[in-house]
Amino acid sequence: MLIDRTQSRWALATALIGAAAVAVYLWDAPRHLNGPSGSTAVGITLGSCALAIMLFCAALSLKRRVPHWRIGKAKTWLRAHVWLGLLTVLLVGLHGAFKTGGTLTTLLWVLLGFVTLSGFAGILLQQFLPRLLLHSVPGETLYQQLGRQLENIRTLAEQVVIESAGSLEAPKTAAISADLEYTPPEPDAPEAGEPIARFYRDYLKPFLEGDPGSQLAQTDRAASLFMALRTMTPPRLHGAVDELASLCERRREFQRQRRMMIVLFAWLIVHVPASWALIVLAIVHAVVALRWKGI
Amino acid sequence: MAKAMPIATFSEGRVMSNEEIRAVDIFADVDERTLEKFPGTVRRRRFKAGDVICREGEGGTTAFYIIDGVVEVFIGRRVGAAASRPTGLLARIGAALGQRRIGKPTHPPDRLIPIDAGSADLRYGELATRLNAGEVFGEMSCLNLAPRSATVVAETDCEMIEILRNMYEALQRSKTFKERTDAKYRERALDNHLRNVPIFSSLPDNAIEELRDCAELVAFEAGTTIFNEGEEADAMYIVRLGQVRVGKAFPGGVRYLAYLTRGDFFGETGLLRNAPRNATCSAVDHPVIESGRKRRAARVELVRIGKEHFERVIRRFPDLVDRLERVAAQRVREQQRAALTILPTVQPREVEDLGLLQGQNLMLIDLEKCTRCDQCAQACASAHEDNISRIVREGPRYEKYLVPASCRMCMDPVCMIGCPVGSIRRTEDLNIFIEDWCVGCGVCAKQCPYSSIQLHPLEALGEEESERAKRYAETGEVVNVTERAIVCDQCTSLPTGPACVYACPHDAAVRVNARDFLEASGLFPSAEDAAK
Repeated sequence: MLIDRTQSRWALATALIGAAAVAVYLWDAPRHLNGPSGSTAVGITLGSCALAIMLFCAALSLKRRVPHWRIGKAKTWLRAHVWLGLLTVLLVGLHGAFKTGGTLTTLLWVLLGFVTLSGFAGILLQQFLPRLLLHSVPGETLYQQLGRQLENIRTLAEQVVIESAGSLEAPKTAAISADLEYTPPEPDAPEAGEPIARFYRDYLKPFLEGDPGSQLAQTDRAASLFMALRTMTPPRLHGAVDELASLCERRREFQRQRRMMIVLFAWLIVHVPASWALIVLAIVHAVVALRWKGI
Repeated sequence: MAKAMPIATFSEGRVMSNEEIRAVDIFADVDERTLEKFPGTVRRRRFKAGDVICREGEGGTTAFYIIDGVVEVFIGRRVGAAASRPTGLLARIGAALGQRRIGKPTHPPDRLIPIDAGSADLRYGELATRLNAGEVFGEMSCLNLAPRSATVVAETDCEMIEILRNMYEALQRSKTFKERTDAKYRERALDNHLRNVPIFSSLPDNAIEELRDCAELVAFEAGTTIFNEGEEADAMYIVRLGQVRVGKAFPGGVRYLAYLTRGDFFGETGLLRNAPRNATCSAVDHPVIESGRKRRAARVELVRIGKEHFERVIRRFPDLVDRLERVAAQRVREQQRAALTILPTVQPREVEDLGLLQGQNLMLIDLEKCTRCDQCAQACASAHEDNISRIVREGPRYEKYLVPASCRMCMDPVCMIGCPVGSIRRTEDLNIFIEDWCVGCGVCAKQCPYSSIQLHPLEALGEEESERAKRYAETGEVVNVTERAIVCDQCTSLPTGPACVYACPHDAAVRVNARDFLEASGLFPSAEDAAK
């Protein structure tokens, strides 16, 4: 969700409700000899509001399971989730008079912290990562298709190598290097494609197999390696070299996409379980407080 | 992806000699020179009861003339099945709370389903019929290379002749053959076609007979104009064979409002309102998808009802006028809607290449807002009873927008050209809609320039083959319909509008009139700027 001008009404409403809650708290605080707490009428009301908002926020994950149900647009739900969720932190603070209390309430504070911070992280990532994806991965594909696409690239690259070098097997000779001095064979000689086979053995294959340390994983280094390969091959094979370079670039793009998308959704690994744990413990806290402590 | 259609070869049976051909009555008028010019184009075929003659969806290049015997013609689909029950707790709760999903359309059982048999059509409730001696089937495959529209199985031992296009065209010029097929058409199909015209549906039998008697059977070469916009209206037409394109000129270009197929009618508005033609209608050829061979344009055959006959019937049945008015008003509404989206004369190259301005209701995803959560595709699946998403969140990009593979409601819906059973149509609000008697031939999917039509296995759609198809499948004789084409229906039957947009939590997905949206976003020059 992009935080832009269209959020101003939600921000204003949240600020107003928050200010009202603070005003009520400040008005009520001096009336209690032991100071404000969660057991006062105002404290219980604020706590109940916070729990209700938490339940509403959790309902977003249920709403996502029935996206076509006529219960409000998903964008309204998300905005409410974010802004009311933010309000919860204030309401919980006012409810407990900003004290941690016992073990359960301390744990609730910790969980609320995790939920809020992970939510912030999610929102923050959504401000720039989609844009970054748009510009740095022009050939973006569906996340579920990435594995298949990487496999396709590997197959295509191997086909190019076989077509230009005759086989994927290379003779045991020195590796190709950008700095190596090399005398190319006659352009029409059968061994003219040999450098491509060696390049495949030394650089391309490990890269296609996902070796994180491969030199082809770095754009600049890959460019110089392909430049060197061009000098070692006759002009008739330059098309094949360019195609391999382009396939490597596509693979780097897909790998970039995978990394970005993992980051884009990583915050949910903390946010979702922490949220459910928070809700369960908040309900336990409410029941215990209301029933056994006789509030 | 659309599948490749198998094409039956013309190698079975026995090649008939010229003497044998001449002995068949329909060839009586075909001259010797023609027979000599096209040797080997006619084969005699014998089928035993239960033999499969052709299969729906497969490619075909020949027509069959039944000399003796009876054949059963059917589409191997079960249609009009009851809506599937919701499964899962949430779905049941939703159903109990009145949350609607998009199910299969329903049609009256007597709804006409056009097939490639000159004198017969199917009914929605049955999807099967019989053809007897003296009848022809497979004309559209022979002349236009259309996929077979139905499966044909010999019900009794049959004798037939199978004819290639060159000879069939010669036959069409033959008086005897034309008289024979026209008579069969008048006898078996014309009544149904007249009743299929909503304005004539409740006329008494004697009025239909009168219309049938005065109807002329006419033919146009594909590509020729039947009538032009602005001309005086002198007749209305019903499509007998082939397709007709309805276009209307707007500033900036011609908009194609519809592609009409067998059983559809046109030209009645001008007659009713005594006004000039409000659209141009032309005969359309079938797309050559598989072979890519160069060939002569095919023919489009029409039923023509002249103005004087039309007015005579109108005078006798004044309540027809109300119905006609309603139909005419609907056509005018369609044209008004179409007029809202007019192609500009100047388009940026990329916009033109991507065909963006074809989109009257184009789906765009703002990739700066989209978090790739796929809620749009999930919502689409969830909104349809078959649980299949009509959107693939992949496609070309324009600026920061992704144009996913999803129906754009094109201004020229070329996907509609060539459907052998008329199952793809345009609704009043210009949506593209694929009916459930689709035979899965894939012509529409191949025709769509934007990959917006997908073929899905019947199993995945929760649909079944008909009992008849299963019976033949047990013998291993019939390759049944295994797929059906699916296209985005814009969720018009849902009160929330398109589920993809409704369910996008990031406000990234929009459905827009491409031109208005791009103009408003400053990504496309406005008409005034273009003029400057």
